[in-house]
Amino acid sequence: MKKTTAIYENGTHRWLAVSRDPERPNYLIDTNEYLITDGEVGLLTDPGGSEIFPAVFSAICEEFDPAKIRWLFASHQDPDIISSLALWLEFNRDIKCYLSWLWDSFVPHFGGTDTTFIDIPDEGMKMQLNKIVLEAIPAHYLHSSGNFHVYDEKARILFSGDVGAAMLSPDSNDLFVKDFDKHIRHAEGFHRRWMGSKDAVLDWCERASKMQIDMMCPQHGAIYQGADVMRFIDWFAGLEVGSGVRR
Amino acid sequence: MKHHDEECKGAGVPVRRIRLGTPELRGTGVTELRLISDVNEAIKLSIEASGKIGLLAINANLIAGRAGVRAIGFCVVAGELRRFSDGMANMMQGWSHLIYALVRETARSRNQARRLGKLKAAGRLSEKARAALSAAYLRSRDALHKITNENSLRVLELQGMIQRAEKQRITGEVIARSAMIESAYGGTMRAALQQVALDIDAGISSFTSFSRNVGCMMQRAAA
Repeated sequence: MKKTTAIYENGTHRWLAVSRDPERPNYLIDTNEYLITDGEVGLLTDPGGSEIFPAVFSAICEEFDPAKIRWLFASHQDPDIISSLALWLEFNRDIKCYLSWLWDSFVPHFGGTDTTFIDIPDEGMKMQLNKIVLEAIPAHYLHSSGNFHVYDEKARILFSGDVGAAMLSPDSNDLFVKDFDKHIRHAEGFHRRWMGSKDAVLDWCERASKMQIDMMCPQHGAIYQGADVMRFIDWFAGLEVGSGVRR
Repeated sequence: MKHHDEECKGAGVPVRRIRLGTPELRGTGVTELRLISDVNEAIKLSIEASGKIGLLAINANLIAGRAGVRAIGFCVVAGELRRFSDGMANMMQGWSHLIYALVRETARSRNQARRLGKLKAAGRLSEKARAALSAAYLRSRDALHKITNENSLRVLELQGMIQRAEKQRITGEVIARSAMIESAYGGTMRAALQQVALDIDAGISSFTSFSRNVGCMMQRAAA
């Protein structure tokens, strides 16, 4: 079963990180899910693939009533992001999923109908979670062509999807980045290959550098905190990407 | 009439119910989808045979017409052959619809079974998850049972169709034999009528082969 860790708590407002499944088979990429709650409602970011649904669901149950998760947020269309959708719908037929408009006819191959999805326009949108306002931040082409992150201005947390992801060794259990220089080596190859456009990188870096971010939470790897957030943005801005087309 | 020497007698053996709901049909190494796909391939061959038999019927009629009064018996056989060919075509259309429905619903049942497995796995990991998922689990299980039961009925229907194909096969063999006998009374057109009778025999043989193959596959799955 995965572990649930509260990474932010302020009254009824919480962020829970669901991470590090010790029983995960090696052939599946490790993922982090984040449950954002305010009082009696919750939104789950990138709920994961169907293979890890049991581990994610059971971990959440220990901390929060899953029936109160009203929304899923899919940063993009990949199977490790949202292929568990049919299972979430099996559990709660009324659950809605925020998703780029670009993918609203692709992701139903995993499950859902025309009433399941809330289309996010290219420029992003606000998402009301009880008294908290979350924002879908455009991150197109990083790495998907219709891609969004979630910003919680009140908590000063950015869920950054695949941006900031690191391919850590299976025995690495730290939820937070401890040594940026060491950690970033595990992120470099991934960003060079998965991120396809320098323009997209710079656009995102400019946007992110203007936000107040205490924690940057990627879908794979560890969470960046404090000064490491800006360190990451600077590092990313200087990185050559699109390695797949280099000769 | 050429007979296919096969280990499995194929059609004509009492129908045994095939149990669905498992990816592999009871340790036979045959998956549901593979069985359906094999039957579909056999149907495609049979549709081809049906078209050929239809053309043979037209040809038989023309030659019998030329042979005149001596070939009245052959004319009757040609008419029967035409009816046989039409019956085959209708039967194959029914098979195709059924096979499509079987593929679609088998895929649905596999997805549903997979979801059910994941819900069960979540329940095994924590008591709270089990409680939260109990309603979803029951819904999912009921949905799977419904699909499996409906598909079992479709398989029974398929098996019924195989039995009808067996009857059709016997009719075909009788027509082929009659054509051979009637061709002997063809007078000056005897040689031509005999050739047509041989072609009819070959056409019916390919249908016989289909009927036996499908019967074999279904038996293997039901064993």
